[in-house]
Amino acid sequence: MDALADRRVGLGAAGALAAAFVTGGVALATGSSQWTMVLAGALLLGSGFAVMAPCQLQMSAMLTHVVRNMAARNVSASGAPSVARAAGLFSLGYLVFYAPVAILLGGLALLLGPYAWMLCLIGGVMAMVLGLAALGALPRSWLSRCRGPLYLLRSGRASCRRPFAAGIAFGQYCATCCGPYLYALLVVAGATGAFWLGAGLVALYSLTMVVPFLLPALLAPGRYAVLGERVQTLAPQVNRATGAALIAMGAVLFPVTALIA
Amino acid sequence: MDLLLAHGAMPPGAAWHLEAPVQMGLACAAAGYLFLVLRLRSRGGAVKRGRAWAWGLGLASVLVALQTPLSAVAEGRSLAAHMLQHVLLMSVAAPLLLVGLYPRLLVPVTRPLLPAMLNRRFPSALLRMLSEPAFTFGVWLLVLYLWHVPAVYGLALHSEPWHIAEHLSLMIAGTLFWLPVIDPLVSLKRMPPVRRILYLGGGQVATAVLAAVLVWWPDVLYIHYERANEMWGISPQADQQVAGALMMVIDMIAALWATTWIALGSLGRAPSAQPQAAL
Repeated sequence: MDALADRRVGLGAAGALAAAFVTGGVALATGSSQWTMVLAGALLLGSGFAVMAPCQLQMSAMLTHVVRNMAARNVSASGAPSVARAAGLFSLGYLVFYAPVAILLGGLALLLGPYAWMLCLIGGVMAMVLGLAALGALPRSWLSRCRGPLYLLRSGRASCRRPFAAGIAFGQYCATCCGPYLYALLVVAGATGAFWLGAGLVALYSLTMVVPFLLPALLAPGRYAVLGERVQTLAPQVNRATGAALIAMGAVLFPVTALIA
Repeated sequence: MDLLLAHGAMPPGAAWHLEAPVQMGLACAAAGYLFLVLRLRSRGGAVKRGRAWAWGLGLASVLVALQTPLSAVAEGRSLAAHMLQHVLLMSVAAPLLLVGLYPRLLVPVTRPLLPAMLNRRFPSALLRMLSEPAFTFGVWLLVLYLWHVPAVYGLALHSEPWHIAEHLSLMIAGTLFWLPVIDPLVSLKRMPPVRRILYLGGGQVATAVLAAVLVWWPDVLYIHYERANEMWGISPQADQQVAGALMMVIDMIAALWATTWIALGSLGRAPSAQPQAAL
């Protein structure tokens, strides 16, 4: 089963890589500046789901784990109000972390000016390295944390007693994974001359991550708590999918860099 | 009547867009659902409250999209507002309405109809086609792109029948797209969870191309909005960029929400029983 899933993931990543290079090549060959930015943007937005879906599942897995611990340790009874409250505080922590990140990344892109495409290139290399680390292909100890957010739970940074701090900690983890994607998004958005668009897209990115995970926790907290019992079985597949998505994203960022440089 | 001229001079928020056929349709949908719920309850069946909420929210989304000042602003002043209207119909109302339905509730409708349909050649082929993801995806893609070709979009803005056809087809295409993902009926063909997530990913890639054109195209694509008065000081170009961003963000939220529930839902059920209650 795992081998089959791995093969599927590998095929998906290879397909994304091939599509990225073909699209980038066509855009470069035709040399149309109008289409160049559209293609770079389409590549980025199109790969967004592959980047965000595994991250979103990791966030849900982490929250359900936090909720399960809350019930086990009798911090409060496992029921509707506690799940909803934990999810709300966790989401708030995540959004609070992302606000300065958006400003910081936007400022960096502005400072770099015409050389901002370098952010894209660095992002591509970073995504590849993080993806390989998540798949366990780079056995360096300093990269072991990229294999999933479990270390946040083990180290106590994502504690059931402090869901707000857990949200911030997950935001930090998430920004490392999705950082390269955000660099590219900012640079491509910045190329239109409307900087507010870049900053807005980063803010919308964090909101897009939070809303689909927060709504079920608020609307169906009972079910969310029950799922917490079983969610850990999904973690290895989600972590592998994250690694594959990061490698595919790295592959997409190289033609994007070529398009905007 | 030229809708652009009809609404262009109105201040935003001034015109409610009340149309009897839409209101009657929504009332019938609400009454029909209530009838099914009462029937299920009278026979001792468990009514799923969350599903009823989803149905209600789906109808509310249609109401907001078509019967509020958003409609007037969308037609005359802002592409972003029009895009919001489209996304509400395709990516919010359609999945919510499908989530509201479940096999036990639909028994009074499906029991007399389905066996008869399955025994006949044409209806059976039609059912098979409707449960084929490649078909639902293809129809959705065609409808989405066709209505956003500037000339076709302009046609819908200037002609009431075409405008109704636009909204109706977007709603139907949205429902078809979400059908294999949510699968409220015991359909002929079911996708396993991984394939449903890949299907959603494919939808996101298709949406991304259209959104990227709107966000990064250097000129205003829909000249009707270029001629309209600027609203809240937003230029037509910025309005177009907001439209693209709105489309991408709302679609992505819907797809990620569905992905979370497909993945988490698949943990708690045997593979054969997964699809019905994925969301």
